Amino acid sequence: MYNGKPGYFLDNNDDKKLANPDLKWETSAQFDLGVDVRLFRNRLSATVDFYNKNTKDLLMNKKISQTSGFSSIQTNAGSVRNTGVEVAVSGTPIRTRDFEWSLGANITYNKNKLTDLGAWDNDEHKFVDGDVIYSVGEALGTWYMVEWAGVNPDTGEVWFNDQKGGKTENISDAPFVSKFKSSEIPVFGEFNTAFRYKGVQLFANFTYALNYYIMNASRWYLDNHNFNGNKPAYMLTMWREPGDVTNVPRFDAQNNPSPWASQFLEEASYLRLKTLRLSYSPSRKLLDKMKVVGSMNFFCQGENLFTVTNYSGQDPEVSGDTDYMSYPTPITLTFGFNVSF
Amino acid sequence: MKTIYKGMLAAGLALLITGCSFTDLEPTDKVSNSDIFSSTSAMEQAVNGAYAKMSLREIIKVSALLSDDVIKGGQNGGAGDDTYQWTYTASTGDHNDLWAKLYSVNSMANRILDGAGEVPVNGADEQKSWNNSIGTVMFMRAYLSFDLLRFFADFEDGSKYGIPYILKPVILDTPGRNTVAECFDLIHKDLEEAMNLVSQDKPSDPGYVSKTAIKALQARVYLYQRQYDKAYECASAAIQDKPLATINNYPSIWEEESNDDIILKLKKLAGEERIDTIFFSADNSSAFEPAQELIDIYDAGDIRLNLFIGDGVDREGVAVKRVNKYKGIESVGLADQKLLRSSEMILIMAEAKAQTDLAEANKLLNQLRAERIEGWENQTYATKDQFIEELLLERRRELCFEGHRFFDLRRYNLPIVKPLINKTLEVDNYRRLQPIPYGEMQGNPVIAGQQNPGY
Repeated sequence: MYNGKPGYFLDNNDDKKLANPDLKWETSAQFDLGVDVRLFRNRLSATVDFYNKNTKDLLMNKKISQTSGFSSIQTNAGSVRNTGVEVAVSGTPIRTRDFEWSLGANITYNKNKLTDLGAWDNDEHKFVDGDVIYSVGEALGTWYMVEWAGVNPDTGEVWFNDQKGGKTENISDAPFVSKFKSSEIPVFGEFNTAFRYKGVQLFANFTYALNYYIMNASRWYLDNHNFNGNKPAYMLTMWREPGDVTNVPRFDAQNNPSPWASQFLEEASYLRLKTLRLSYSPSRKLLDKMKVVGSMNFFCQGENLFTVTNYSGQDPEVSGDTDYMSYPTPITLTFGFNVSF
Repeated sequence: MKTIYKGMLAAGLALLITGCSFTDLEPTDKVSNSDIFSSTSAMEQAVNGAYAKMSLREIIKVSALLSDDVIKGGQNGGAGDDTYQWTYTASTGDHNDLWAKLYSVNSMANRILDGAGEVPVNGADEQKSWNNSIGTVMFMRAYLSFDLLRFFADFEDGSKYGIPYILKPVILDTPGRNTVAECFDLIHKDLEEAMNLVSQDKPSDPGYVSKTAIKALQARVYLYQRQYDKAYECASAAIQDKPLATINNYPSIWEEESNDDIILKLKKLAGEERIDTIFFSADNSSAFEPAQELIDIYDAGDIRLNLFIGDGVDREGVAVKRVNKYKGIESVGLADQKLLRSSEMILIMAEAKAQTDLAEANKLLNQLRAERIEGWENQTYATKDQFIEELLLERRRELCFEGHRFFDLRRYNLPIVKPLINKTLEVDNYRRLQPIPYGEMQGNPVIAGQQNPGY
C-alpha cells in the first residue's frame, strides 16, 4: 500500500523466494550390515550395526548477489556421506524372584563427510558460509574463523593467532583456519540401568554426546561491555593496566570484544541424567485386597536432573550449531499415579 | 467385501479420468508476472509497491550514527553500536541492512523496467501512465544508486570503485563494481531520461515523483561531483517550481499539515514505518539523543531548534533532549519521509555560488536564514573559507537527521569528532567508507575481490 493505494511487491517481501525451475528432491542410498546376538536365554543381547549412507542433491541455499533483491536461492548442491557403527548391549545380570537388575547401553560413532560440493564447487573445492566451511573430505559444519589468542598483557587489546607462530592485534592479519572441529556430533548414545525389588523399581537413563563444538553466541552480548545488561562476574577481571594477564580485553579495545574469532567456540560434550524414575506397583495380592481389577502404579520422575559438561552456556544440547540465548532444557519433576479398572 | 473393492476401484478410475482441475487453486496473496504486466494500471500498482518499499529510515539511521549529531541514550542496549563507534567490519554493522534494502527496491525498479515492454498500451492516457511509470522507476534507480554510491564509495575520485549499477534483473549474475565516474554517468542518464517521461511537471502531489524532484536530485548529485554551475542551474530551476517555505509556514511542515518546501516525500500512513523510533521508542526508551554540539549551534530566535529537538523524559525518568523532527502527528507517530526539499536547493545554490560569486552566495544564505531565524539581520562573510564554514553549519541546522551531515564532513575532508566517547574519525581512516557487506561477497565472488581498502 502506498498513500492508501494498493501495490505489488516484486521482491522478497514476506520471505518470498526466487524460483528455481531445476529444483528436485534429495536422494539417499543407505547400506546396512548388522549382527544381532542373544545369549543366556535372552539375559544378554547385543547388536552391532554398520551403515553407510550417501545423500546427494542436498537442498542447500546458495548465496547469490544481493543486487538481485534476494540473498540466496535454493539449489541442489553437493553430496554428503554418513558412515558409522551403532553398538547396543543390554542384559540382566541379576534376576531372582524378588530382585532384578538390568543394564543397557548404546553408542553410535558417526563420521560425516562432504563428498561433493555440487553447485557450489569451485577450484579449491571449498565454500565458506559465514563461520562454517564446506570442504570436500571434511565434515559438514566445520568451523572456520580467525583463531583467538587471548589478550595482550601490555596493551589490553585482543590477540589473534597469525598462524605463523605469533600473535597479532590486527584481525586482518590473522588468517581464517578450520582447525576447530565441527558442530556435527561424532559420538553419542545413552546408557541406562534399572533395579527392581518386588513392586518397587528405580530406573535411570543417561544420555551423552562427545567431541563437538558449538558457538556460544550468547557471549557476543554477555561478554561485550558495549551492550547494556547484566554481565558475567569474570568481566570484573577486565584489563586495566600493562601487566594485567586476563581474558577480558580493555574497555576501549580497537576491536569489538566479540569479533568473528574462536573465543566463544566451545566444546559442548555432555553427560546428562535424562530420566530418573522411582515407581511402585502393588502386588497382585494387594490389588485384589483393594478390589482393584486392573493395575495401579505410583511414580515420581525427574528429567534432566543434572548435566556434566565444560560448556559455559546454559545448555550444551542445542538445535543447530549456535547457541544464541536458546532456552535451556528444563529440569522437570513429575509425580503421578496410574490406575486402571 | 468384493463389491466394496470394486466400487472403490471404479470411483478411483473415475477421478483419474476426469482429472482434478478443480483442485488447481491460485494463491490469493501472490501474482504472476503476466498479471503485473497485463495493463498499465497493473503496472502502476507495481510502481506503488516500489514506493511503499522505498524508505529513508536506514539511510537516516546509518548516516546519523556515523556523524557527530547523536550521542547514545540511556536505554541503548547496544543496537547501532558498531556504526556509532566506527568499529564495523565487512560482516558486522548496519551497512549490511543498508545494502540489502536499497538493492531490494532497486531490483523491483529493474523488474518493472524489464517487463514494461509486455504491457499493452492503448491510447494517449495509457501512454502517459506507462511513460510515468518508467520515468518514476528510473528516478528511483538513480536515487537509490546515488545513496549506495555515497555510503560505499569514494565519490571524490572518478577512477575508484563505485557500486554495481544494475540495469536489469539479476538472479545468478555476479556484477562487479562500476567506477565512480561510470556510476555518476549512469545516474545522470537515468535522470535525464526520466525527465522526458514523468507526468508531473511540478510537485502538486509531492508524494510522487515530478520533474522538479528530478531537477532537485540532479542538483544534489552535481554538487557532490563539484560541478557547481550545473548544480546551481538545476537547484534554481527546482526552486522556481517549488519556492522556499516562509518562516510562518515552516512549522506546519513538521506537523504534517503542509507540503510547503517539500519537493518529494514518501507518504506514510498510520501503522506504517516510523523514523522517530530510531532515536526514541514509544515506551520512552532513549536509544540516541541529539548531541550537545548540534543544539549549541542554533541562535536564539531560530525556530528550527524547538521544531527539530525537544525535551523528553526517558524510561528511567531522566530529562533528556530528543529528536523531534519526525514525531509528526504525535499520537500515531505519523511522519512522511522527506527526500528532497527546497531548503536544500537554496543551500546548494549558495555553496555553488561561493566558488565564484561570494556576494551572491551571501545573499542566498541570508535569504534562507531570514526565513528561519526571527529578527534575522543579514550577515556577510568576507572570505570563501569563512563562508563555507558558516554554510556547513547552516546545512547542519537545516538538514539535521536527513542524511547529509556525515557526507558534508566527508566532502570537505573534515574529521568527525565525538567528544562524549573521546573518539575521532580522522580524514585518512578507512572506515569513512562502508565495507562491502560480507553477505554480498559470499554470493558474488567478483565483488569479493573489490572490497574497500582496509577491510
